[in-house]
Amino acid sequence: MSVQPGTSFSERLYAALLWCYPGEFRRRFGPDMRELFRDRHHAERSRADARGIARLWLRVIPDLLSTASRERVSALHEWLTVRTVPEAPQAAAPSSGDSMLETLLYDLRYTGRMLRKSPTFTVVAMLVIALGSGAVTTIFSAASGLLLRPIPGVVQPDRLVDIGRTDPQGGRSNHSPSYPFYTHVRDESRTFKGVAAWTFLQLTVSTGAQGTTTFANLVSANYFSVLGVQPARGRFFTADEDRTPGAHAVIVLSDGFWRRRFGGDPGIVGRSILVNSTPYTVIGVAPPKFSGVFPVVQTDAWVPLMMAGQLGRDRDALTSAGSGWLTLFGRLNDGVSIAQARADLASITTGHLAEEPQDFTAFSGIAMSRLTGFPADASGPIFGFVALLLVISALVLVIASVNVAGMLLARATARRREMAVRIALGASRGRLVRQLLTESIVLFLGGAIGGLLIALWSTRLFGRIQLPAEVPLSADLSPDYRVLAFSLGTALLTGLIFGLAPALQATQGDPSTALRSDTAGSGARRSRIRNGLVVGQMAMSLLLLMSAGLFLRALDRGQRIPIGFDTSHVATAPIDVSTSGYSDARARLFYDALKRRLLTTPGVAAVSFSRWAPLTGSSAGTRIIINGYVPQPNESQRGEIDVNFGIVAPDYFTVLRMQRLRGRAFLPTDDATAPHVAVVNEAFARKYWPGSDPIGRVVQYDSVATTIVGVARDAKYSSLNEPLRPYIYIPIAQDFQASVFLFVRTTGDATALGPIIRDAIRSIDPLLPAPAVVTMDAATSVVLLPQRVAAAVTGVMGVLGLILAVVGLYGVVAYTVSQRTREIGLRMALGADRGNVLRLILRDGMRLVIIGVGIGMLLAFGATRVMASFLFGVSPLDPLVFAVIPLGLGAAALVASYLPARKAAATDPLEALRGS
Amino acid sequence: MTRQTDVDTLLPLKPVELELLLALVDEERHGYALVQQIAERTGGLVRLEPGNLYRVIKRLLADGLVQESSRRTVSDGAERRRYYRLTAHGARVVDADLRRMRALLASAPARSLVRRLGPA
Repeated sequence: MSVQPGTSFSERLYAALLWCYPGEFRRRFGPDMRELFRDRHHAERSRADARGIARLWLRVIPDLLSTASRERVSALHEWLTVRTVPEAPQAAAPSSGDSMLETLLYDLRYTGRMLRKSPTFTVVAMLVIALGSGAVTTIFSAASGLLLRPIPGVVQPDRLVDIGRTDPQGGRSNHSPSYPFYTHVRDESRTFKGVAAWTFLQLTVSTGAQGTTTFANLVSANYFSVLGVQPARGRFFTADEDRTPGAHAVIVLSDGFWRRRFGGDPGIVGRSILVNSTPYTVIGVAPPKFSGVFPVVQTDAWVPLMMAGQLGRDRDALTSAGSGWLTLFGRLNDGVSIAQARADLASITTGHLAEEPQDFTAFSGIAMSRLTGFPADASGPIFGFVALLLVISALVLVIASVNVAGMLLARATARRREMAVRIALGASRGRLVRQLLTESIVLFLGGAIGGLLIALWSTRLFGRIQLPAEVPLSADLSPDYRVLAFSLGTALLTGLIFGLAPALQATQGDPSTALRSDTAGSGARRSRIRNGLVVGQMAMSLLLLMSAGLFLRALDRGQRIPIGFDTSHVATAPIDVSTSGYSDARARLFYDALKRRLLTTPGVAAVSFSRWAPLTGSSAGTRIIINGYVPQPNESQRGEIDVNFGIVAPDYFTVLRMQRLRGRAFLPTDDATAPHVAVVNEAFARKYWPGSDPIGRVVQYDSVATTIVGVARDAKYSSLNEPLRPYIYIPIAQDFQASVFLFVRTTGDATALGPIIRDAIRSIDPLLPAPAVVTMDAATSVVLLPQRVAAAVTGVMGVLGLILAVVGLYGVVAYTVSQRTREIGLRMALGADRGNVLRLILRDGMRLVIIGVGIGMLLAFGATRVMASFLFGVSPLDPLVFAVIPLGLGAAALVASYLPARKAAATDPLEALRGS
Repeated sequence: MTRQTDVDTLLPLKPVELELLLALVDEERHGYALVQQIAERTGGLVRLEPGNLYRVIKRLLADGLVQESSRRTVSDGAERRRYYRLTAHGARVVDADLRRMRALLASAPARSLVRRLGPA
């Protein structure tokens, strides 16, 4: 059954669910049913949007379940009738020689009857499973959306590989390929059908009025053909457009951008639009959903690499072997393995090394991996993080399943008579076990459907969260057929595993004893299983709560790490006037005017600019020579030293309240004609001029003698867990950059600055695109994102697990009390007082809890270690977490067993002895 | 595959079946049109979901009361829709069922009930 592209998720889900129907029915009516569903879906969406679609599903799901099962049954009947025509008429209940299908059919019908007979049990069990299944399905759905889904629109994605340069050992340090390196690899390699190159860049697109800041890719002409993407309209780039720098001003738009910005203009191909104030011809539109090689980044346009110089790249970007700025990927030839391709590239790149600057020889190795939709070096950590969350959510499902297993066990006891009767009447034990397993699998399947609904809702919730990132991000995390299969598969498996013990229990033992007595006879083994379940639940729930506790501690620690500057009351916005055709001289005037205008706004306290924004995950390095400092042999190349640096405007330290310790900050007089100056941080001064005054010292920055005029306090520059590092600030007027971040400090609310900043820009030049303004609080919070996500997810899961475990414990203790009523009555009659009884029951309950917590602690000792890299130095064995969580869990467990214990203590001995 | 079943053995028709056959009396319709027509005539009382609709259609096809029409439309790249029409046999069955209902209405108990409740 093929599904057309561009169909909504609901339609795809419905198409997938049609597999519930028997093949013949599906082949005959499936397409029409989908058509009908589509019509209704359109009608509901246009009338009531999301609520209408929810209503549609609420009507369609029961219809689907009931008609599909009835069709299955009648198809089976037909099939059996055909097969058994010569035989005698069928008996109502199948005897031992019957076909498996018939047995299954019978079991299903019987299951339906049994589950309907005790609706409370059925609903509660399914709800419990739905909670656990919802947790794991949500995380799996997100994982599938991020990691498993192939890059949309791409043909045979498993033959695509990422190609990078590393040191020869294939170690951690890597280096972006240059354009000459790319052409060398493209032309010389024999193991690829094609090798393509690309990079990100930001463009300003306009049609005469105010421009739009657009996230685009500069790509080699074969980019689309290597990926196997076909244009939805017009064409993609030709080899001709890959030859002459600056010759072909052509652009391909994304489907989304074409619809948003150009209203889906059918005449778009051939139209001329302004890109960075230069006319470009639109030659094509990419297919819907195609968003480049990294699908989570919303890419809106593609321009040939040959236009790099025109779009703000260095003039020599296409000729210099010394400037690495590209990302490469290739499509392997049929039958070629990654190892073979790596060997091929390694042999041809050695020939290229001679043309490159000396320090590139350090990167003679080739790194190659499957194209994952993430940067090659990021996909590992992302995968690890998601796997961690998946394991945590799986624990919730296990706890929920254990609860249901406990419920089934209790039911098994109650049904021993029924089983005994059936065995006495000749049913085999295997037959009864199969019947009971069918029941548990149906329960788990029902729960899994509930879990899918939870996942549908929660991933939609995730999708609404907007990250304050520089790059427009959009991820589709909603469940797909993979998630459906995962969820139903998990349900089958858990139903089988957690149904088996109760089923074996229920059918065990001598039917005659079971028939003779009403009470549960040999309870020792049964209660051992039940106790084992509670112990396991306690252990897992402890593990969950421990990880939640650790992530919360890490988040707390992360928020307390001194960052060295003050982000409150500050808003920031990326601005790049060079993409709107400004020369450097005009750009300087513009930034001066913008600063002056903003300072006249009431409440604005300070305004500054910087090439990069701090603590947003990016960092920049440069090489300087420090006069009078003799570098260690391993820290320098030809006397130059790698340092991190920033290029900032006057008042930068004022806006971010970075205290200056000595000397002065940059002044407007530190302009291009003045003597070159710089400010360093404490770590810089300590490292290179230990024990002496850094003011007045000289470094060579960009081969110009630069005098240190001030020392600023140490700060975090790129990420929160970076070590203290030397840092040098250069005044922007002496190394001008047209692409900057604006920083504005206000005495009021920073979120109010958005319109103020945009108005100020518009009043100076109405054609400039309006920038995205975010508060510094929000922008820097991205560095804590993994901890926030992990703390939120494990927190919710931990609480869920705790509730389920405590309810499970309560159930077991209450059940024990009900089984021991007689014994308790006897003890009381013999002189035990209420306190004794209370202690007796509590001791039994708490014994399980203590064993469970003990096992959980042991597990946690081993397991929390894998979280270490997310914890900002909080020890995975953090004493606070390891003390508080077990105590808290113990207290909750005490309450859970106290309630039934109190009831036991209130037993009237006479009643208890007379009863039963 | 159409076998003609005796009119009598098919009576009385289920309400859904009758509604569906009635909707086909004046013209051939496809699935969605049937659902809409039935919902409209019953004032939204009978709303057919896809599974139920095609189960009923399957039954009516098997009994030879409706037939797939040769007419098919291609709507804007979507899949081709199947149209259904009432067979002569189907028309006879509807007719017989309506007669049965009329007789029912004319019976004494029904008449007295209608009188007591007043006209609908």
